[in-house]
Amino acid sequence: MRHHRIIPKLLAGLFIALIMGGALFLFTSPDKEKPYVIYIPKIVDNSNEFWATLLAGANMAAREYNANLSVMAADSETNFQQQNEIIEKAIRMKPDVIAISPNSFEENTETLKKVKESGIPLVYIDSITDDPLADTVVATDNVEMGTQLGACIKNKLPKDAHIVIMGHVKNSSTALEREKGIRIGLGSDEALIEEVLFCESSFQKAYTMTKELMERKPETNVLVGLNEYASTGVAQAIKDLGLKDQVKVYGTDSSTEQIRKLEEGINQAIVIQNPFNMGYLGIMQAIQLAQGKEIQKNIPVESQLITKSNMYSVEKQKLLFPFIGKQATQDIVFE
Amino acid sequence: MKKQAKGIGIHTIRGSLLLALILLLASVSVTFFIYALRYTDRNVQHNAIDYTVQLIDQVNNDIDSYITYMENISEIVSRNPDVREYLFSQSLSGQEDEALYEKIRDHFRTMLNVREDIYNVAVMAENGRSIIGDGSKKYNPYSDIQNSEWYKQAMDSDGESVLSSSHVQNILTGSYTWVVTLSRRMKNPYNGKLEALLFVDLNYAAISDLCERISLGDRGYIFVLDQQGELLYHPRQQLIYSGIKTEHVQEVMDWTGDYFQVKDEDGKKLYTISRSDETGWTTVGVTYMDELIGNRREIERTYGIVVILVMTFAVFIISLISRRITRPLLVLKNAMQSVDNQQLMKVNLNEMPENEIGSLSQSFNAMTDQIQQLMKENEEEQRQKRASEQRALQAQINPHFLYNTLDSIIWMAESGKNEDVVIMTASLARMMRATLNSQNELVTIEQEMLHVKSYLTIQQMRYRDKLEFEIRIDPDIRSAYIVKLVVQPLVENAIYHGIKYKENKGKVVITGERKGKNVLLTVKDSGQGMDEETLKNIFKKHKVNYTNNGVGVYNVQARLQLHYGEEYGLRYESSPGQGTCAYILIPYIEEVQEHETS
Repeated sequence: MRHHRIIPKLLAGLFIALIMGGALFLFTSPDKEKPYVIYIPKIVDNSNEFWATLLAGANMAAREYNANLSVMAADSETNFQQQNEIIEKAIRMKPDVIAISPNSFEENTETLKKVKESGIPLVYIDSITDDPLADTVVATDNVEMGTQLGACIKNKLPKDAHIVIMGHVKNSSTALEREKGIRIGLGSDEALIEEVLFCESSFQKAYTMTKELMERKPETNVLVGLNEYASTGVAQAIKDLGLKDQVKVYGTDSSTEQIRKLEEGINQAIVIQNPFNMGYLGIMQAIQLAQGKEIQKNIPVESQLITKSNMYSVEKQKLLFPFIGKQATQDIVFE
Repeated sequence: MKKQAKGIGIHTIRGSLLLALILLLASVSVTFFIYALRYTDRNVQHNAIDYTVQLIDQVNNDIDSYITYMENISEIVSRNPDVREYLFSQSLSGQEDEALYEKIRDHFRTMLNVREDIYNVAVMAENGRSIIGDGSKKYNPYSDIQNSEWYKQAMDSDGESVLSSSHVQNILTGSYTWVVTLSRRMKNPYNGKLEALLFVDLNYAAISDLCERISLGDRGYIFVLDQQGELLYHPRQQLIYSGIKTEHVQEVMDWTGDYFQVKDEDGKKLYTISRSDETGWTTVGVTYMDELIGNRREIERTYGIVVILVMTFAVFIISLISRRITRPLLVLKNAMQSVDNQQLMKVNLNEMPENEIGSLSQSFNAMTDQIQQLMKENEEEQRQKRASEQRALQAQINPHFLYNTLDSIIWMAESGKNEDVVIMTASLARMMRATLNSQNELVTIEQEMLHVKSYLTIQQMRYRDKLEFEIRIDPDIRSAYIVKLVVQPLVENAIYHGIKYKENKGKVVITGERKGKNVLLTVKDSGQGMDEETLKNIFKKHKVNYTNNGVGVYNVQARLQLHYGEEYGLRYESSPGQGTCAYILIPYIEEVQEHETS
């Protein structure tokens, strides 16, 4: 009789297991928690097209990959102390990942080490620090940017060319890399670069330095600006000097001023970054990090070369005039 | 026998019944679960698709209404005589010209103020005269609109309105705004030639707002394609132009239906398409299928709970019903098993349900009743047989004893002992009466003792000097009943096997006393006693001690136990030279039951 008794017990067990299993299946939610991402840009300023566009891209990624995104930023792009405080606050909020555009190359490093110490993955967007702390860096490939510009300059090189580069900050990584790229793009004509000036990222300084240069070296016929301020200053000076036809000006980064100079024919070409893609890719990478996925250490964001003739083409105008809809940044949580 | 009332082994009917029903139920439930879910999925999906189609149609209509509005404006402006006059009249004085310009500008300003989604209204004649917007912003001399795509399209037309795709309008200095331009060429009323261009710019944000305002789940979105299939609006256009994302534009352009489904790296998506006859544009809604049935989890949960509840309830009911069905069977089975185990008397099935098993039980009851009846009859027969046998035995009076007694009487008569002859003859007569005359198997102890006393009296007269006897019976047991003729054989035994072999006088003592519910009679002799071997075999049939009349100890014992049961009867105590003691233990019975008499 004994072995017969096992079967009903087995049956009952099976039935109970079925019901319990069913209940378990039904009541344990398989929905994973939304990853919580904190992004600390250099600044939040809707009048600043670059950061507004970057945030729009960031928000797009957060929506698409189903993450909660909080944004916190300092009052100014140079206020690294405040940014350090924000980083500490962000650590206390225990996000799944922190993405940051450090305000300082050196001064944020110590605080950012704490992020790594607390085990939160770290993503650099747009800019980096002296210590490569981040799990991944999403930034414009400045060498590639320079190379595009260099190749364009070489293409339209006048006879007897004298090239002067107006840099923004001496020894800054972006200036060095962009310059390097221009030299690569110029190839054999690299030797035609006569001088590299630095305007300390000031429009006014770039403007006066250009005027001085044209007095000092009137033979200069190619001028290259390495960032928005340098480029705009150079272009404005050439416009004011009435040297539009003698000097070819090349710029970096887009601004309304730059676009106007491009329309006016002072700027031959400008190379622009893609902040939307940078924000999008940055937050996408951050989310993938939070989900524990393998990601690349370095994600270069491509730049675009814009000339007067292609600026209103279907593709380029969408990149040059990024359209930020009302709702693109509407649902971002600003802490 | 193991208790089986709760048995639900797989081999039992109940077990099989339970198993079958549970399996059936489980499969039905699971099937229900799957089909209900699938049906709901289909339904939800269907509704969602319907809803999305309507939504996208609505967006498309809204866009159309903007375009219609632009069309109306262009119509109004193109028919405005002031505008015509300002552009083409050659006979205007400076002052008139100024006044006309102001008038038209005011007109434009009003139009632009009323609708802020209209970015700009402008007319430009080939003769160089133009009115651009309300004049608050300057014309951008570097705008180079002649080379722009929308301008070329407009110039290619024959005076009908042309709708551009989305583009950046740079005609106003310092302003780069995304717009959609509706343009038409205007006739010079003086020569009937198309010599001016009128265009209305719709703020692109108006369209993007329309598309963004509609929520298609968390991740869904709307995009708009122009006549050529270029992206007019797409929330991810930056990503698409950078090659990070792709859009299924070609599929949309090739598709003629309302919607289709696509599966790519983002998952399954529903593309809902609405084409505008007005603009030739295509509005497309993209919905993620997993969001479409987002509350699937909820539905699964609800159905799951229902299934589990129903199954639990049903199993409970099934086990109840199966017990109702199989319990009587089990009872019947157990009853039959007890019949096997010969506990027939106790088996009687009551309270059985009135169904097949009920009638089976009734038949079973009838059968056991009959068997019981037969067994009773059989027993009675046996009893009667034994009783007649007994009577036969009882009826036998030892002929030797009779002969010896008569001999003694003759001898006494001859020697003139008349008194002794009277006593002996009387005793013999009493004995004869007790043996022969009784219809009853039971007699009172009093009567039994009278019989024994008669016997002992005779024997004492025969063995004058050798035998002494004493009878001591408690008065309160005298009226109790005993199986008759059980004491005399023991006494006879005591005399012939005990006292007879003794040199000197022997004594037989008979006592009777109450022992609780029982009566104990003792026959004690002072004879030679028995060794163990003899004592052991005293109850054996073949060791019948009295070859002369055959009523031995075995017979006494058999009769006592037959009548009173195993726990009563005869017991001997003896050892050589110490005499023998026989004990008769019987229950104390004062009333004789009717059926015992026969």
